[in-house]
Amino acid sequence: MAETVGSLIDKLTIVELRRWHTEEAMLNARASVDVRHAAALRLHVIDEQRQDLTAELDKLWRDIVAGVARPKIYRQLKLYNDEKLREASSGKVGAQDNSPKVISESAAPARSQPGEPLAVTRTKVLALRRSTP
Amino acid sequence: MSDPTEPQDPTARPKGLGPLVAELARINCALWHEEDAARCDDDLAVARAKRKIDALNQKRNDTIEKIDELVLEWAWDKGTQNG
Repeated sequence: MAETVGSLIDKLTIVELRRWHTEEAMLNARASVDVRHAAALRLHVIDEQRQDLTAELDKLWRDIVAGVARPKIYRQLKLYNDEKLREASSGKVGAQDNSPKVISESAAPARSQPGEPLAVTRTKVLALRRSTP
Repeated sequence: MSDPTEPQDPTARPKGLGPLVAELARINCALWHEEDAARCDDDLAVARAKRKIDALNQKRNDTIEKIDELVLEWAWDKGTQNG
């Protein structure tokens, strides 16, 4: 599973926010009937989303407690947080001048395909052990 | 008025899962409003919102990691206790 307990909770808090504001629009007496109707329809989708996320978090939690699933942490490997990586990936410097430095304890060396940004922009690397933040 | 994107006490670090989840919800709430602020015709206001969004997104990712660290630690301790 690509999701973690943290990422699922993050998604749930956003769904709750979306739900709150959609409900606000649905109950807004000054809004048009069309807008309120659209909000009501969206609310159904949002509720289903919330239900799915809750079920997924519940299952992951149970699996972790049962020892079936191993908890994960996906370290942030954003290129733009690293000055040298940002330059190297935007074609400002030659790749031979600035090889990407190791930015996570278990990060594999970043491979870049010709004409493609560095692979790490799309692939978050899993860190199994806790490291200093 | 205090800046809603800043925690009340920057030295206070939430310890348990509950405070971390509350912190994450607060950050996402602030993000929601900054995303609203970024949707206007004033380019300067858009730029200001963008900077706040970047900072909030960093905090958001840090908080997600803290939650996952806590879960990992807890599972680690549990695994050690049970042999």
